Amino acid sequence: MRRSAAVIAALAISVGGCARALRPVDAGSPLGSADRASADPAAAQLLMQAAETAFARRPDLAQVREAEQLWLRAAVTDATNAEPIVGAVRAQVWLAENDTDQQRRRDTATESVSTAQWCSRREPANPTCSYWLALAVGVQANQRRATANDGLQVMVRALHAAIERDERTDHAGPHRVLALVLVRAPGWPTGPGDPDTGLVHAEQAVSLFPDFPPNWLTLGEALHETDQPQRSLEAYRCALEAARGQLDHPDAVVWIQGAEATLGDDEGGCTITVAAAGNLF
Amino acid sequence: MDAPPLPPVAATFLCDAMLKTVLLLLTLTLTGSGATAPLHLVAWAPGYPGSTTQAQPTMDEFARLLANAAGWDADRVTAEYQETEVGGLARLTHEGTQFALIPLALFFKYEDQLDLHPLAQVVGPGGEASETWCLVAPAGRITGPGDLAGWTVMGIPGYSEAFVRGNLLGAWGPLPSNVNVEFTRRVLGGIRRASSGENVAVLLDSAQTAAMASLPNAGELEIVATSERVLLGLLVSVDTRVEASTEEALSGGLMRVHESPAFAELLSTVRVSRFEPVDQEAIASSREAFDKAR
Repeated sequence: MRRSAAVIAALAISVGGCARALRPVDAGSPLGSADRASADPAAAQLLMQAAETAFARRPDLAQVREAEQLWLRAAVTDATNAEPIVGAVRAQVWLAENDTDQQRRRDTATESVSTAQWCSRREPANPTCSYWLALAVGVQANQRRATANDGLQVMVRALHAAIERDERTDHAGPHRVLALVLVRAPGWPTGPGDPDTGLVHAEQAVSLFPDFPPNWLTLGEALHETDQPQRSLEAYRCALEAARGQLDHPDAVVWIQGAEATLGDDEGGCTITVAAAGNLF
Repeated sequence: MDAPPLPPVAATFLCDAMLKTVLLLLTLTLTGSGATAPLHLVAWAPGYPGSTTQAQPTMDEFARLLANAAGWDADRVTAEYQETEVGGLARLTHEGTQFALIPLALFFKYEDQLDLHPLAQVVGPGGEASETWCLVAPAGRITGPGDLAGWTVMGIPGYSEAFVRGNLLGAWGPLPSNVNVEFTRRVLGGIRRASSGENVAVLLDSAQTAAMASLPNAGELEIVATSERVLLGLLVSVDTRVEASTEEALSGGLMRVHESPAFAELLSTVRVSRFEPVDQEAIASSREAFDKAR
């Protein structure tokens, strides 16, 4: 998963709007009518493997759309498992951020929220479902500004729920995304924005997964927003170093671009170390 | 628009009269192009959320609707958002910026330097063009301005020390000279510091003051001063870079923008309900308070 920088880009300036972020799920969806009794986990597993392979070929749009369909088929094939639904939401969130057609981005964003709601319905205590619901609501807010106000509240609740259940989901994704929300959203009392608390979550994400470049990118942004420009640059250097160590990752180019956009010609290396206790130095 | 070059043969036979005619035509052409010259507006709000890039889609829509309201082509006006003091200052110093939307504190700070002229004032979502600010401090420690000696007073308007001392706290009394007035976007961080007993007092706008009771640490704090009412914000022209007729067309358009449902919705996202003519008396009395504190 990339840093989801665009997930909440629009939220930072959207303080108005009154549409609800969550709507009742479509009872007619194939996800709702899937029969648990006739679940075929083995077949679903094959579909999920094919979906992962296709999704790894991003930024090829056709391949990501193929991955989305494969995951949805897997979710219907095995109605006892939320994992393929999570996969479908991952693909939809990616498409909602990257599809070249604006209308398709809007439609897919709305669809991703509905799919994520089915995930939570299938496994209400699954932290991954809460996490991806937050991301889906974020891309929806980006595409449909009227949902931003309510969407921010939904995101914060879902991310806190994910942290409570499993903060390690998606390389500390709940901490990372919550940090971005708190750093970028309008501040109190208009919105949940609170850069100081955002920094705490960014530091926790790095402490848990220091090898994951998006965590460093988020920390760099949080340090910048809390008026620590020098440490911010150091964090971006760590992001670059971590990304360059994973060049075979489908999102490595995006991570490197994200770091280089801030660093420019800066040639320094990563000097922040993570102690065993998780403290940053 | 450049005039087309004259053919060499024609130029040879130009007499004075013809030259005058050509110059007159050229002047008219340039005047005509001035009437449709592009206009740029900067929404300059240090301490408020979002960045220039993030806000650009909203600013594009704002510019398009504003041009329509002024009766111009939709692409005549461009607009951008600047969330830092230094960024906005650079953009307003640039010749290509003719208008700005700014809070009152910035207006007084840069009125002379940038030759700013108010054209309209902002009306907030509650229908008021002005608001009060409150100073919040650790409960039981501040009974008057003198108690703040050596303290830090922080808040969004902290980028203008004279505005804080004169307009927001002047009516309460003069602050000791060793009070550190500090800008911060992170008001919640300031509140946390104050509620934990640090020598910190925080300036809150009316919306923040109204919401203070909902904070978990509200019991540790108290309001020690409330300002006179100050205007929320102004639309200003910069350095007389356009003709009066252009300013009038823009102001006229602004006064009507709230009548458009699309524009009203857009304005609501930035907590503006409409624009109205400038209250010159309010500006004059605020300027007096500001000048005294400079």
